[in-house]
Amino acid sequence: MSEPVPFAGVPRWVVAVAAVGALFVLLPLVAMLARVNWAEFFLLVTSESSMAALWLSLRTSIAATVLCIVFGIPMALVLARSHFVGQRLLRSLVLLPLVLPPVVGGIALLYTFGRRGLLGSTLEFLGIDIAFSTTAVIMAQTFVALPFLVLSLEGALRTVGTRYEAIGATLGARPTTVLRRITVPLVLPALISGAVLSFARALGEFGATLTFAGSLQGTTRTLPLEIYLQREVDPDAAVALSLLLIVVAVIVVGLAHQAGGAAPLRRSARA
Amino acid sequence: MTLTFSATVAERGFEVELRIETGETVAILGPNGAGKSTLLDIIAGLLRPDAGRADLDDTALFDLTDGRRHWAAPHTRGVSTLTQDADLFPHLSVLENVAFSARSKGARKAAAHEIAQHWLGEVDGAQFAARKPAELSGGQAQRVAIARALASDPKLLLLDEPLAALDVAVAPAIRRTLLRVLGDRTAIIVTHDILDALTLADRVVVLGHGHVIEQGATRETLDRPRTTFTAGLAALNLLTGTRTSGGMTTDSGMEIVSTVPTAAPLGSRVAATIRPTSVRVSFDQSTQPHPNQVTATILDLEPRGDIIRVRSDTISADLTPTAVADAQITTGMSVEFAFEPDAVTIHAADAGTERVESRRESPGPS
Repeated sequence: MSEPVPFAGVPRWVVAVAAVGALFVLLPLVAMLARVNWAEFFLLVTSESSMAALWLSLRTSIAATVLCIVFGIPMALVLARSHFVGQRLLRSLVLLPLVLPPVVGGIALLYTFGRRGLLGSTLEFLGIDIAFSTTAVIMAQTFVALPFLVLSLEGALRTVGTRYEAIGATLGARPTTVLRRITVPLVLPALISGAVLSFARALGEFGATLTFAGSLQGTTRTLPLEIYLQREVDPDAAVALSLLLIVVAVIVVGLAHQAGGAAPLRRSARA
Repeated sequence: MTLTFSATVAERGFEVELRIETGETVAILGPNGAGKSTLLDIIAGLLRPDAGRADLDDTALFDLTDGRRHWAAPHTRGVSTLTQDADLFPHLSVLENVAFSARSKGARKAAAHEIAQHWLGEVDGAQFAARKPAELSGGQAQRVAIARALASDPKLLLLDEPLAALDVAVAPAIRRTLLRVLGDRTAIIVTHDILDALTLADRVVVLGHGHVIEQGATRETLDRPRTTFTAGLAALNLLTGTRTSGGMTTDSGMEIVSTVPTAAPLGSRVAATIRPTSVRVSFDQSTQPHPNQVTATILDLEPRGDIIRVRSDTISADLTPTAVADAQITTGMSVEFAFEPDAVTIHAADAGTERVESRRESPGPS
């Protein structure tokens, strides 16, 4: 006995096209799995340079995600809740890194924070040297990942609307209390999924990092950079590290997905 | 807690002046779009008017007169709102919802929960304390919302159609709860339901097109409506015209005979009310002429419990479903509405009595 299947109404040719699309995504993964040198896999991923790259990637991606949350929540709030002239333009500009080639982003960062950049002399005066440091890696990752969080959070804020916030205010809660006890809890699932997207984007960051931060083992050479370098000299190591990166990404996304799913947002039911 | 209020919002054609005495509950009536929600939003601090001033006791809620720009933030006003959908915070338990106000004002958890337990008890909701709002029925949620609003110790309570979203079976119990807790509180209740006004309010204010068009003690205003909207709300037929010795001449030139004593002087502006239950409907044009007879086209047949309201553009009659079926009454039919002279009550009307668009649809956002 099987469960009755509800009417779906999807034409067969649509299913066929979808299958081709899914194959296109999955086949390369399978091809890569087929090339993994399982005998030396453990040795390859635990080499000093690999572990250094993995550790750096995790640290910088987490730091970038935290920065995305710290700056992304206020940005999403301002975009979703206030009305001002030039708001649409500002939104487009803030989301620009989504469509910008990462290399271009890296160059832009270099000409802003680099030694000869816009803020370079100021930073040098303060004794801060950013370019080609771990800080630069985090900045490059934050630059490309921030729009993901802002975008998903702004949508959620608009969907939730302001009525709960208005009720909170009339009950005597200050704006900051309303933000902490009502707004953020209500959009928490979107905040988590936005943070996961940002983390995934930061973890995979390559172009902006290479341009702005360079490739110094243990300092700026993240896992994607290490994979790219190894590909030239040791294809087996590159494949093994790629698999490692996929596993890390899947674990993080899976964990966060569960955390987000545990807090479903429902409106109070009516009789 | 006396409220004095005056405000204008040019964009919405809103211009209202209002005074509410300490301990008074005032019902705001009016068709959709009359400005009822605008009024509540301005008082709560959620909408900024173009000009005006409001004071709650000695505190100014806002003062935008003569270039002054005083505007108290909503959380400082001591004005709580109860909405029709309860709007409980979905991520907090019932107890935390009710404790929200006290917690937000800095009370310790234990103290806030004690206050919340007290108010949940007041609305017979103590047993829901541990539940999430999603696990409550509409009536239960509205009880909790009442407790939450009262727990904030408001100087002024705003109720925005608090019973409109509830089941007819649940509404009476919540109405009784409101009647009990409103007691000596200063409150404004926006409603579409005449019963809410009659049971809960000391006074009614009727809004139309952003202006106060009628106000007074609840009973008196509803018994002697001056506008078709109020008359419709009170389920009364209203005809306006000029007083004559036998009754009145309506604005459309029809003679109405009344035998009910009235103090309105001859030639003055008057309004006549007739209960729909006193109006009969006949089709036979040849029946003997009746003193009060109106020929009109039926616009609508509206089922109201065990009777059917037969409506035309001038007058309505309440008939039993069998009478409607037997006579095969349908919309678009031209019929004679007739009523006895002793069923016509005439009272003085202001010269400025406006005809307000009478809309009787189910309540909606206004």
